[in-house]
Order: sequence, then structure tokens, then C-alpha cells
Amino acid sequence: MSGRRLFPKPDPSLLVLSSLAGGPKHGYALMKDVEDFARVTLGPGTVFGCLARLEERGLVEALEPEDRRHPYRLTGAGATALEQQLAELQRVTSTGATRLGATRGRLSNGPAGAHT
Amino acid sequence: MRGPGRDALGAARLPLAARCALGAYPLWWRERYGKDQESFLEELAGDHRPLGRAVLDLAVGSVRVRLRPVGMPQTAGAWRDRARASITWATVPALLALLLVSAIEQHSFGSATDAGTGALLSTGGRVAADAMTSIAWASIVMIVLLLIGWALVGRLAGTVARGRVGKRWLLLVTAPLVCGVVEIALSFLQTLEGHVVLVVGGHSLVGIHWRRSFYRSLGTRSRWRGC
Repeated sequence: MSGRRLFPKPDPSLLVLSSLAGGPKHGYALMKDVEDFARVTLGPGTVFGCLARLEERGLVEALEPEDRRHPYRLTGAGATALEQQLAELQRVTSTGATRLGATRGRLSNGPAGAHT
Repeated sequence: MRGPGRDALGAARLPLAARCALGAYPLWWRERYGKDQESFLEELAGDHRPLGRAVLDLAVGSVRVRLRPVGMPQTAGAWRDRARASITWATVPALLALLLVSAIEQHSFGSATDAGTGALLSTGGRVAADAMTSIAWASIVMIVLLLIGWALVGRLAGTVARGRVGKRWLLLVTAPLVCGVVEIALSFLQTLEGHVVLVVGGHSLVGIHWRRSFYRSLGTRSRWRGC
């Protein structure tokens, strides 16, 4: 099996929004959360670049700083954008999973099935 | 609770590479996200995790922010700093490279005749000599463009401060850069053969002629013809 990833990593903006959907977080807590649920490590340049873009679009907002760090939280517009994006992904994953199940069923029926 | 001198102390604790990567971001970014990023790195180091990838990510991020300043406040100071950084990065590296090339090649091709024997150069040799002359002119023109660009951003800052921001000012600021790139491209087109050293500085791409051995072979051939 090849060591290279067949599919690119998930979009960092989606990961950041998904993490903030669980509550306000500062940069490092956000990175650890993403690492836990997506197994993707985001560096500080990526995290804050992402937050800046999302902040500019009004999808997240910075809260009052705590000990030099600004926690960030999802805004209403951010929640809507995340919901739409997840719904699109959900359509793809559910369709893929359903079709994969059918294909696996055909494959398990025997080698002849694999060629049909 | 942390003490008042903690900010400076935290930054000093970070390795030099990390401090350089943080410092590579524009001023407006450092004012907004600098302490967050610094704190991020400290926590990373506190968890005994390697900083190498984080520092690399910061360096890449700083380039990205300089090229596409998302969230930059629309103030005169921020625009002035950005324009000046663009002018510097687009001009100074190319200038230094041009001066270096000129210094290296000057001994062999200062004139249309070979300096050692006085023999006339062939057509190729003269082209090479012309290329060197054009590089020298390019250096002078680039210095002028740099100064013009530098002065114009001051005017831009004044205009923004008075609340009369117009696209023509932005065009005036970027015009010297565009002219510089075009001018260097034209001087490069004058050279017929040779290798290209690409100097990528800020937003510009400059081609420079560079192949001393090629010129030497032309010079040798011309001496034979001269004899």
C-alpha cells in the first residue's frame, strides 16, 4: 500500500468550525481538539490564518483575551455555514456508504460477481 | 496569574527560529495575533512537542499573509507598510543579484574588445557585452523605481489619512514595480543564450543572464578571428 494519502486532508476551515461548534476555544486548545477528532495536526500558521479568514467573513468571533490568548467562538452565520457544509458532506458519505455496501455484497458472492 | 514582564519572558524562551518565524509576519498581524501565536508555541513547547513543524508552518503562514493580507485593517499605516515591504522585496534581492552578476562579469566583458589582447569581439561577444551594459542600466533604473515607489507610498498614506482613498494611488504605487519587472524582462530578452537565475522576491520574477563559461567561449572564438 502506498504511503501517500489518496485523498487530501480535510479543509482546515471545516475542522476549525467543527471544533468551535463544541464551544469557544483558543488556538492551542483548538489544535488539540482537531487532533483528537480528525487526527490532523494543524500548525499555528494554519490555525490563525484560518481564524483570520473566518473572522473576516463573520463566521467566528474573538472573545476577550484570557491570559494573552483570545478564545474564539462560532457566530450564527458560522453555525449556518457549517451546517450547510456538513449536510453536503453527509450526502456524499451516505451515498458512498450505501453504494459501497451494495458493491461489497456483490463481491462477497464470488469472483464472477466481481466482473459484472 | 502571570506577572507583568511575562510577555517578554515568554518570547525570550522560544528558540531563535520560532522568534524569527513570528517576526516574519507583518506588524498589523503581530499586533492582532502575535501574542496568540506566541502563546501557542509556548504551550506546544510546554507539552514537550517538537517545534520544527510549527515553526515551518508559521513561516509558510507569514508568506501567505504577506501575499494575501486577510483581515488587514484598512488604515494608512498598514497600507504604507505593505506597499513598502512589497517594493523592498520586489526590488532589493533583484538589485543585489544584478550587482553581483555585473561584478563577476565585468573583468571579461567591459567593452567591445577583449581586455587582455585588444582583439575585437565577435557578434556574440558584443551581444554579451551589451547584456552586461543592460544589466548595469537595469540596476540604475531599479534604484530610481525603488525611490519613486518609496516616495509614492508616503503620498498614499497621506491620502488615506485624509479619507480620500482612490484606486489611482494604488496604481501609482504598483506602477514602479510593474515597470521594474517589465524593464528587467526586456533586458533579459536582449540576451540570446545562457542560463537563467530566477530571483523570486515578493511579487516579482526577474530573469538574469548568467553563464560565464559561455561568454568565455565567445571571447576565445573572437580572439581567434582577431588573429
